[in-house]
Amino acid sequence: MASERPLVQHADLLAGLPGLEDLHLISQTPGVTPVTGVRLVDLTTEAVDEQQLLVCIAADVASWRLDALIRRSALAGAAGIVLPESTPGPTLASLHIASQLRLPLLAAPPHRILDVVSTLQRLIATPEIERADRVLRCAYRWRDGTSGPENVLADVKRELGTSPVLGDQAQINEFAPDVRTDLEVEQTITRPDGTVIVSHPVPGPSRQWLLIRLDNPPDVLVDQSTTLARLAVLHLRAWFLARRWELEQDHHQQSRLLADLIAEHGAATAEIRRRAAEMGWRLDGWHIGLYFVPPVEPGEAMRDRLAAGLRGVDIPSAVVQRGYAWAGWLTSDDAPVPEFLHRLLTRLRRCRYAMGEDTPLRIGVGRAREGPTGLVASLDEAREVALGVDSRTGGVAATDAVGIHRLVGELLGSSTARDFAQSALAPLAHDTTLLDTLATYLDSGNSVTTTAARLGVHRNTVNARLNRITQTLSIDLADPDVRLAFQLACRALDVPS
Amino acid sequence: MDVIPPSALPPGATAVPFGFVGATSLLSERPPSGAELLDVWMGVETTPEALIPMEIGGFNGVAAVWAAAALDVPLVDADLMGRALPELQQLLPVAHGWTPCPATVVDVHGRQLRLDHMTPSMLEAIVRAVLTPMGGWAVFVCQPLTAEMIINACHPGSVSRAVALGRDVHRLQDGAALDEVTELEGTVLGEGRIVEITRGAPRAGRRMPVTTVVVDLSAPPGGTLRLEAESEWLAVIVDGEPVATVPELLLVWDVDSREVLAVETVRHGRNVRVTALPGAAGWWQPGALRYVEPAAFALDVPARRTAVPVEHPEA
Repeated sequence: MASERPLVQHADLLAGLPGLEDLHLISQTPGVTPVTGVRLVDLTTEAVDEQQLLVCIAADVASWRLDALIRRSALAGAAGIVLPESTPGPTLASLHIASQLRLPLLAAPPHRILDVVSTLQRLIATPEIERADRVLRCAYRWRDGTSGPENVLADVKRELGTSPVLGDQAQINEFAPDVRTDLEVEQTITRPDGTVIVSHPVPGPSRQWLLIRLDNPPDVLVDQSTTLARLAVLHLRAWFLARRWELEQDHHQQSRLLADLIAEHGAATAEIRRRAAEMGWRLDGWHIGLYFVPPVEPGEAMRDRLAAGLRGVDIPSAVVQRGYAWAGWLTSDDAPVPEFLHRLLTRLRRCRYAMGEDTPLRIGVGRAREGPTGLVASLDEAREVALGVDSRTGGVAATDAVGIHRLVGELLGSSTARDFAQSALAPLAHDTTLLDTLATYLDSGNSVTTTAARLGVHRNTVNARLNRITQTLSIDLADPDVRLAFQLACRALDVPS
Repeated sequence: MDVIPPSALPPGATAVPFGFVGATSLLSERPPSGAELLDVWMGVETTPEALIPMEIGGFNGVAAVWAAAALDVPLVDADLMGRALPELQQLLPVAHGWTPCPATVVDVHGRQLRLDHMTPSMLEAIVRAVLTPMGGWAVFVCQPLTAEMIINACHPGSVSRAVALGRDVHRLQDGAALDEVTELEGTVLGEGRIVEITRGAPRAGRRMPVTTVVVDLSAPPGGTLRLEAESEWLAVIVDGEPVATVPELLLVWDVDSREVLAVETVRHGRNVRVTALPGAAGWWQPGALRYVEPAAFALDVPARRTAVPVEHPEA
């Protein structure tokens, strides 16, 4: 609903409006200042303010004092002067000065001047009243906090007569490239063609923007749009927070959204973006993928422990179930510096230890990558390096420059590795004690002492078990090739198919 | 007839202020008999040792010369107004506590009125009241002034100044341009075409009708000049800002004829140049301004001094 009532602009446009039929323009002067107030004055008044329409109820309009008042008013940025009609009227001096200084002079019959003032005051207040009406209507509609973004946008459209846009940085930049989405501040941009863009950031992790486009609007409409946008942003923020809280409780929703994003290889559709925004996920910016592989089938309790552990080391990452593991990620505006990655790894290690010795968590960290496609790629890398970590001890591994962990992960995930592991280790398949001892020995750098310490048994026991293993498998553990092959086989057995 | 500086008056000698009061425009219809100049001294113990023009501006400046010549006494180079002013309390020595009483008015028939023991304003009121029965104008003389009073409380040098300005008037009549007579022209306040002349009823408590003249200034940056007047130009206001007022001498020049226009002779459409000449410096002294500022003419404009005052060597 655009404005139905006339909005007060310049004083010369007031004459003849409904209720102001008695008011007429006596100087052929277009106004330059909008009227925002009315004040009763006499010709000698010194108190003249910007944008005020001065009204003289009784005055000797032929006096030089009118010239002086016109001059003072124009210098002070007043909007115009209303005079009582009289004979003689203002001198040509007054009319000339008024037109030179572009200050409209109006006149009304003396007995009607107070009516004119009261009508003017009502007209001037109209934009304020209209704005208050609009804000109150919206505040009333949104009062219970259940209106979602679609409803809020529809309400704003109904009030302003233009469709607002809600979106993340990428969407807003596409719609209005001149909005500085890197600055999280309200912006009102007037384009050369007269279009005005009112854009307000919605505070919160998903970095949404509300954008209203107005074509050649009067100033008051821009003012009203700004006020309404502030209210809408406040409401949207609360709504997103509540929605996010709900969704965080619904892990299934999170898993589905992440699965959908991965299925699209990060090519986020508008629908996915909307869901991500509701979830409080930010898709633009730089992401570092995290992958957490638990030793046993993941459950709610362990997820909560992991989430608490991450919070404990100040890592603001989501924890989203992904098969038998969890995915998470960190998002920043700019590409993270190496020190940041180093600190991240340190914190993740602290988190792993905090989880306890009984939970040998394997944690993978992907490279920093940009945008939704980067997020999917980084998660993929994180998953691969996580699977490359020793499942018995757990640990933190990051996709490094050389790609060793990636290579190991790929090797272990290959069918050759699985087939070899199953056949080569088949004789020990039912003896987990020997299998553990073999893997621990190989992962401990072939040290019997270390193996004994890690398994909590005597060195002789380890030696005895190694003898039984070499005999059962008919292998020579002194051969480096054999050791490498069986170390891979041990790891591969833990790889879920 | 000699014109002498005030300092040339013999010690103890005095000069009698002389002038006509009333509508001097009536002099052509009702010419003086010539006896007034003799009649006016009846009742005064001595004939004057010297005359001083009461008012240097207008007809009175010339009238004093005529009277001094007729009486064969010297004329003191000074006057009591430094310009033309319409009322009898608007005399410079009045601001110094001097009173014109006793004063005498004589008409064409020799009817004489001697006024004493009254304030200058009352003198003005009574003289004004008798002017109509006396025929519209009368000869006026009043309390003589010593040389010291003339030097300290009047406007010395005004006769020579009038003569100097008169020479410039001759130069103008001989074809000189306005810009060539800068001393006569004074400070230029604006030039343009008269677009409006409004003549209205006298302001409250005043006798003379008011005139407002609006000049559309042609020279950049343009603007509008307003003249407020009674029988003299009283104030010049440019774009709502007073720039010059009485007691400065305000002049409206007809640019084409190079003549000074009086309030009653301005006409719509004339191209005019409005200028200001310095009035008597004495009027700007504390206590004096109230007799001659615009408010004294019931005009609500603050006094403005534009022209640079000319320090007379005798002052």
